Amino acid sequence: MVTAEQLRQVVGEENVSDDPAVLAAYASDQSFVSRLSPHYVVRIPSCDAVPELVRLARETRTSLVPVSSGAPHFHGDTVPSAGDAIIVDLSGLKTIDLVDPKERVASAVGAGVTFGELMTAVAEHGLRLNLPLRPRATKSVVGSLLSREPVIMPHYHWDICDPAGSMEVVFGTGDLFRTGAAAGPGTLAEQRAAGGRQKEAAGPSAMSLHRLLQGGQGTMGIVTWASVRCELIPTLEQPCFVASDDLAKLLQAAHWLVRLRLGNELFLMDRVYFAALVAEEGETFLQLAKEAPSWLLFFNLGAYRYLPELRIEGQSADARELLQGLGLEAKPSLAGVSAWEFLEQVRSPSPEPYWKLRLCGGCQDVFFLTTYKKLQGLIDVMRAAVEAAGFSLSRLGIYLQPIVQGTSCHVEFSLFYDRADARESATVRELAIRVIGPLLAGGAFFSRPFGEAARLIMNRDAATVEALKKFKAIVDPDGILNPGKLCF
Amino acid sequence: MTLTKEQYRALAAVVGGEHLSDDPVDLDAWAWRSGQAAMAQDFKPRFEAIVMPACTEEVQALVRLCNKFGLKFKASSTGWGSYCDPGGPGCIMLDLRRMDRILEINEENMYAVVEPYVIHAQLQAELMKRGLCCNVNGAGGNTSALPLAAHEGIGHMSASCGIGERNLLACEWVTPAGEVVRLGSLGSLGEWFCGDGPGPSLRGVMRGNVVPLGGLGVYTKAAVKVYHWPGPPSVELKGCSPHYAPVKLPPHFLLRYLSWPAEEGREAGIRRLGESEICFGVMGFNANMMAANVATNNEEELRLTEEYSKQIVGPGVCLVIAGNSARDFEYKRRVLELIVQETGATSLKAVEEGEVHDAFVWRFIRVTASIRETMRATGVFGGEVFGTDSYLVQSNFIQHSRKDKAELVARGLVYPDNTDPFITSLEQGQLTHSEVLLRWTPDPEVAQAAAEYVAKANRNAVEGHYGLPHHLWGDPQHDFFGPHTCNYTHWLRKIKKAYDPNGVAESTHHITAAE
Repeated sequence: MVTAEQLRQVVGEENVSDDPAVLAAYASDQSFVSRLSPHYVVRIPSCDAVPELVRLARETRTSLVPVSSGAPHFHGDTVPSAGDAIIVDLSGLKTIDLVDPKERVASAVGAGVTFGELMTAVAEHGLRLNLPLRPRATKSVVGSLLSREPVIMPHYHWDICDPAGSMEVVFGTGDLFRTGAAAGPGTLAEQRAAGGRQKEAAGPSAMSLHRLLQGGQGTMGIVTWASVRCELIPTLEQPCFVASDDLAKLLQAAHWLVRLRLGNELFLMDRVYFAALVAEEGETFLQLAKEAPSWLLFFNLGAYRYLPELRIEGQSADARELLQGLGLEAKPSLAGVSAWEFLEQVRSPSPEPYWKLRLCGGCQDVFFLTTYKKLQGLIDVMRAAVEAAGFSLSRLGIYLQPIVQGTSCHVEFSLFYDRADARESATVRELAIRVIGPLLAGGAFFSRPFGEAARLIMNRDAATVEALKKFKAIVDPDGILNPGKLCF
Repeated sequence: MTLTKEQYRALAAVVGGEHLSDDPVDLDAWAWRSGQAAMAQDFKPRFEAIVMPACTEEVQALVRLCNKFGLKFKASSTGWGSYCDPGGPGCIMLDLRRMDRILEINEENMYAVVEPYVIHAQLQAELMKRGLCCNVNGAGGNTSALPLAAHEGIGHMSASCGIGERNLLACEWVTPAGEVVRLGSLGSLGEWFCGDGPGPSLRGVMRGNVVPLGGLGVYTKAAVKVYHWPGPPSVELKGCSPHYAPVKLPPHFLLRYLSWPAEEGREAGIRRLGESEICFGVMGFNANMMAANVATNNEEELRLTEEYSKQIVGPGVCLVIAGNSARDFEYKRRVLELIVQETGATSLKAVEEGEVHDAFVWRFIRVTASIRETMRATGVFGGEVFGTDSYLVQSNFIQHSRKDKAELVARGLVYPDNTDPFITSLEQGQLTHSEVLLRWTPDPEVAQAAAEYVAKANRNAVEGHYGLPHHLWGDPQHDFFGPHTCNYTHWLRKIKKAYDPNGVAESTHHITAAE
């Protein structure tokens, strides 16, 4: 077992804590995974400290749990599953090495940089991020990339790994590696002098290890920085809502809008999710959840440097015709909420408290990927399960995010519940597990399994598990990286 | 080495006698090498047998037999280069030509599922009937549409239709150990819409920005992202190849070739085209590549190269605009005009209108002229295929070719086409890729000079910190770069060893497990 003194020699006296209050903050999260306190929390002062820390952990057979974002955490992946664990807190890695507007990239963004921080930095260069819907203020950009979180502009989501670029990782062997173009030749400074921007995520050569770091929940390596693909800030925009009680029609509209690249931000949600996102207090929530149409599609046209008015005018007319053909209509506001106001909300980090916790104090998400065809059936499965569990449908919110340019759809069921109510917590906990089986049977693909459901999901595909274990044995032969997660 | 009777019988029991041959005539046919990177030696080492499996189960059985007998295998689909050849004796060819079905086209979620011998021309034609299209490898519509077959998978429409590595969704992989792994939603659900998860994505083991060239098993099926096609279900053509053109080009298509006096102009132009998202396709052709796309024989190509060179003022780019509607087309056309004005581009009049324009558009989209560009002049080509990252690093690196290729031309060793390097924009300018094309008549002196050219380019990549070229074939080239590139060879070899414990997936052009 590693000692505090050994850790202090690596990261410095002030960066090692065994204060019970500090440890307690990492012993549990908003999810239902079992509570387990780490032995130490180690704050990483600079990327250089990570290889030595990992080598020390390997020598002493100590588990490491990397954490990039600040609390609250939601999925249990940052709660130790092994008794001797050390939390590797990367939230202090705040460097943004380079922003290049011509190449549309923020290069080598530290693991601790939050959305708010990076958005501000890139905006100064005329750039913006393709980000998840209203991320929490403490959410690390790199952490989000590593979780393959869905982003709100499917138009620019070419690949599920986007907007990730090259990454720096320290494997469980203690070896430092850089993925993609950052691998070299040369140091980052030398590459940049030659014009390199560490933007290419794939490679080097016939492997793309960023894909194994993503979705790995820290089991494959500790990522210290990643480059982030950026998009231009539009010079002109036109956001709007399309509302309907007929989800099938809205899905058809979403398909065509994404296919024709009509719209940057684009997603769908039901009235409960909409109300939870927008309402600042309970009464407004209840009113919106009652009065808003059953489903809404939100999309935002964008134009850039050249002839922005002409582009918006043309796209607007094309979108209008498309929607008319489906008997739908785009509107500038919905239930008293303007599309502009909504746009600014969804693409900004949430103020504290995080919007998902604002109304009831707790939120349990069940999320997966599927095709448009199976969506309605899966929603029916979830609603039936909610009713059977005795939970109120009025607190089930549904968010549908087309991803990878419309090749699949992220489905997120949010159960807003009162964490202080033990009975309700128990209901939600059981519901969130019990519904996995029926959802799997209905065509849900749990691409990012977390917490208690992870093993159930992974066990569906033994060949993949075996293949993943082979890779895990290469990069973490002693199994020190976040043991107990996924299938490891 | 030849197969023993036991080995032959075992292979035949899997595929049937009619789909297996060790007849020397057949073996020589598969050992003949022309085309990409062909050198003075026309015949490569023979395979021990040519085996043609029809399905995944047969591939799996063959791979298991290879493990049992200590045979190596090399799988190939449409095959284009020397990397399809064995490195030595003891290797059988898994020729995948019988696996040629389009298994699904999902219009709603915009993907197609293909077997390895479905070619791009076939898939594209089927997609167009449904208002969809796909990325087509720059190597041509004749190449496999499996996004794991081509070494890179970059093509004329990569500006709007992505690239192989990033277009891959779910897929099926027969590992060198003979296991069948179904990635993503396929493994969990039997559906093809996602290739990643549950958890980490094995896509990163199977391929990088290049594929392992057969060195990590056999990819038997894959889903590939498809895109909107703004044209009609089919286009009526007149004439016969090579003299053919659309009877009438569909509305809302336009092709231009723009050139600038200096590289800075091309950079500004390509950046603006990407930022404004107006291009359906972009290719940084030079004068000769343009001529090769239009000409129908070598004499005409030489004449047109000369003619075009007089009008082309410097580095250039060929682009196609396609409108999803009349309004969309009008907007894109007007933006193009502004970019031409702002950057001081010169448009090549010879391809602006008439049958030349219409035929060029169609060949560009169907990618039928690559063979003309690469093979027609001498029958053999090669050169340098660089990486992908920023425009700046690609452009900086590739400039050396102006001098180095010119030197080869001056020595009479390569075809005297044009020394302007090729550069292309991917995903609306988010990434850039570059290449230099060399064509030669194979003889030992040329082979030596071409090898020296590539070695010099590789040294330049290391010393100048320009990145890792895509075309690195075999241990020596990887080992040259590895120590300068985060020792990627260490991890690549670990992967090779973990998934191919018996070393049966032939790896002469990939990497071997030997440290």
